[in-house]
Amino acid sequence: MPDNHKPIVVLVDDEEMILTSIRTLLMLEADYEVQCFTNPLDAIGFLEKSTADIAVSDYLMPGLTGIQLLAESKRLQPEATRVLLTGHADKASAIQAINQVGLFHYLEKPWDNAQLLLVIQQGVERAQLLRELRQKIMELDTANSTLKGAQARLLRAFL
Amino acid sequence: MEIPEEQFLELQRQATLGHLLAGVAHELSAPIGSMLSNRDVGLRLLDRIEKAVADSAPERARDLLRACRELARVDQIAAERINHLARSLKIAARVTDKVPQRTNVNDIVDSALELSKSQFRDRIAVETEFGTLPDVECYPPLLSLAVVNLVTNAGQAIDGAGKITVGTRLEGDTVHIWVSDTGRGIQEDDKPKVLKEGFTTKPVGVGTGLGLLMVSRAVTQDHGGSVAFESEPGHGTTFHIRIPLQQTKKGAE
Repeated sequence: MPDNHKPIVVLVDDEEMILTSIRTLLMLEADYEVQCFTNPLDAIGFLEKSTADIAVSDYLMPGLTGIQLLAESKRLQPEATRVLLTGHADKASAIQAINQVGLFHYLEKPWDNAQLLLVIQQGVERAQLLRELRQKIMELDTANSTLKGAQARLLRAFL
Repeated sequence: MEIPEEQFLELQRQATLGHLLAGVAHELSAPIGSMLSNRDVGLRLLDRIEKAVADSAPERARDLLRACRELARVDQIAAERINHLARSLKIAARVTDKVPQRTNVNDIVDSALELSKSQFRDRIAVETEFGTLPDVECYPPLLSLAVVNLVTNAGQAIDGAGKITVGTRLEGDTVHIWVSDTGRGIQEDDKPKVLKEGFTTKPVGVGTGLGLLMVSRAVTQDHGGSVAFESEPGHGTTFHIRIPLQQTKKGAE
């Protein structure tokens, strides 16, 4: 792991009861730091300041739709995985979400806990792999410029 | 072919109810989703508590029990939410009930709001100002659907975000219900036509021009009351329903 904090899961739903249910499930079955928001704007505020590994959002909320929220999440933290958990079973919104925000998974309420756990676990792994990849590419870039510098010095010394 | 007006209004009431069902189904998905998840997590918690007891880990067992209580609290809220929706549906759906009932008008208005607000909960805030009212002899489903119609209209009059206020108060021997919106308002030219049958400015599929006719019939013919409105284009509209406490009228159908 590039950093050794607990994976951070962001949950957004205007229904407090949904947040409590999922937070309790995650506390029991996984070792994540869970951040819950009933207001999508507060969730965006969090994503502006802190790293997240996955954002799981409701669709229909006051102020912002889940798709708008996940689009912001993609802009602020492209590596964080995006999941829509909706009671609004509507194919058009699902397709829109997949195309516009690069959705990792689309879940409907009521959901299956075993499936939700698996989706979140895979989503967290995906985000961490992407971040590790970026880290490695940066290391390669640094090594590459060091080599270039060395080559330039060699050329200057011998030619 | 002419359809008798009473039959026509009945069809309109059924259509109003049908239109609300998708929203009600959506409203149910949160409490039901939460309760189903809590049942599953509850069983997982019991397994862990059993293990904690076997391992003589009282601290751990206490934490798990706290989580159980938290879920029971959430279940209570979720079940009450479902119950509220079911009660509201029952009030509004008894449209064929021809017997008047002594009821509190606030309960009727609340049922109407519960059923209609889900149509636009993502963009419109709903506020209530309920006054203290005595029970009134009335037809709850007819009044409920009348308020549903006014709230639906209010929501459709608002482009984007806005606010709907629904209130009740006692004025002498009259119960006054009002529905106020911050929508686009009614144009001066349209005002005389608003309460007439078949008048609508909404596109086909959104409005039929029959909603307000239904409101007007339910209030004036069935309850001996009156409907009025005031509107300022660009600022909003308020509809007023007034119903006498002592219903002198409506005989048998």
